[in-house]
Amino acid sequence: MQTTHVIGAILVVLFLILAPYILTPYLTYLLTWILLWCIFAMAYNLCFGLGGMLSFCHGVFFGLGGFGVAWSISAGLNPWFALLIGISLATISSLLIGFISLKTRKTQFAILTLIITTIAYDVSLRFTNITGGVDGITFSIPKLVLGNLVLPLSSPAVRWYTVSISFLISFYIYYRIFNSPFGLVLKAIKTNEERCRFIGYDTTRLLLMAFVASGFLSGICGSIFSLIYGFACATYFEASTSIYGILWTYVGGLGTLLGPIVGCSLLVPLTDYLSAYFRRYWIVIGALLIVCIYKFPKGIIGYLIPRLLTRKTLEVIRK
Amino acid sequence: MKILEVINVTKKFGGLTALDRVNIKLDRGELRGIIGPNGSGKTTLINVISGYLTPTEGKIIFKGEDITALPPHVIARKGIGRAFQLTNIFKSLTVYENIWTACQIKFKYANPFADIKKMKEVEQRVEEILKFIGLSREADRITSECTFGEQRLIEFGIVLGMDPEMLLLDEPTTGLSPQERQPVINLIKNLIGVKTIIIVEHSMDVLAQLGAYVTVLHRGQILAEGPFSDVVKDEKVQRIYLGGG
Repeated sequence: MQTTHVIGAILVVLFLILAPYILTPYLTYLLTWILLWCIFAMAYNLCFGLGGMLSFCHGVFFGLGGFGVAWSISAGLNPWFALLIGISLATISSLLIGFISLKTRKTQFAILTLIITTIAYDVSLRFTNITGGVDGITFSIPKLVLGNLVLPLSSPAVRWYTVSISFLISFYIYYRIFNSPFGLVLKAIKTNEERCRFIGYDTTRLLLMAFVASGFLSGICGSIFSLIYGFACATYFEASTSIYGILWTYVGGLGTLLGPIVGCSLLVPLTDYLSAYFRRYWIVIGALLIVCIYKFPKGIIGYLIPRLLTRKTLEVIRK
Repeated sequence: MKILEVINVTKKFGGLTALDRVNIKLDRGELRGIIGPNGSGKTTLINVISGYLTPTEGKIIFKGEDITALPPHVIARKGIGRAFQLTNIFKSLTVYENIWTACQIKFKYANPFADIKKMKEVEQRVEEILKFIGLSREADRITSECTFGEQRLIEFGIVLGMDPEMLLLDEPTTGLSPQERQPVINLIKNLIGVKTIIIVEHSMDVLAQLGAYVTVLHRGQILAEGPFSDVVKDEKVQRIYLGGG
């Protein structure tokens, strides 16, 4: 690992440790919210940015992660076990949905995942005794027990650290996949799947692996979300959850390592701000996406990096 | 034992018979040229061997194993590498990444936690291939920025990176200028005897330079077979393919 990476990692960890002491309560709340959604944005980037799979059913993985936790806590299970159930539900569902959807590619794949998410949303609205429908399930926010430590997740600082650790774990997984031979094959499949098959890659299996990894990370996000806010509801299953993923990754830089984090960090506070003052804030967000597609097709990272760095520096980074 | 046996292979597209009971046998290390006019079934033959198409009838045996109708990735892993008629590379990746993608197939490519920077054996192999195709200096270029001739060499690099025992080369010099053509011919010459090669080619000049044993296809059937110098003298070949006689 390069020295700059190590220094960068140390600074990030230091910030994550000190944030609740140096930031205002509102900023801590907002950053908790951003970090949490960054996990989802990274998950989405693995699927769409690296693998080229335009999925509309990531809300299902997020939702099942959330409901897994909500059902488990409501049944009296401890939060660790609840997390395990939530993440497992999301991962297994991504395996099943991926297995079905990856019989197709491109537009058909996108439509199929849209149909799946519509069915999941409809089912979750009908079975209100299980899901609580639009009102959702609320439960008292549990306390995490770590040896002799009892950590109330209702405390903003505990929430912050829980989300920070989840973010770091997720980022590590995401970073390793990005820099692995598997990550490179995914980029290659996105560019030219036929060539990959003639090299000897079982592209369907590899795409399924990426889809499941993405479902797993979405599950972490959904489970933690539900755990720290004591809430899960059917609206998670909506296609709009995935659309947020598309928005964040696209604006930040599709297929780039930091793109989804940049996109999410800019758009989550913007959405939060706009929604407080403007009822139809989606119009502004939609317009922003249109501008981005036309003017910055490679996203913020893709646009800024070649302008900020000289060709020589880029070559050094590439090497 | 023959490395490849194409036995009575027929391929029909509806009412059209693209290949009609074709039989071809290749020895290990042999270079075989496939020629024929447009629509004679040359590319269909390559498609059937590489798993792109399933034959309607017949068998394909590779190293004593029946590979008929296996999917392309399985056939590729058994040791058959294919270069396409239209350059088929990863245009948004660098030259280095293109070759790397092919070279890592024999290593832990599906391990999401393997570190690409620690795969020294792959790195070494990539550098060898870049040197072999003469593109070491272009390693960091995005391939879409490369010339058509360079893209052809990258395609070769990808096929060689797989380290296959047999190469299927579909019109490797098509679209190249005479200056761009020569490095490709030299590359193939260097592989004669090392790899088994099937080359589909329109240019008689290329096959003459390579001194290939030639199979002539016409309307999906084998019209003639033999050393290049004999085949070009064949009356049927001259009449049907070369338009002479």
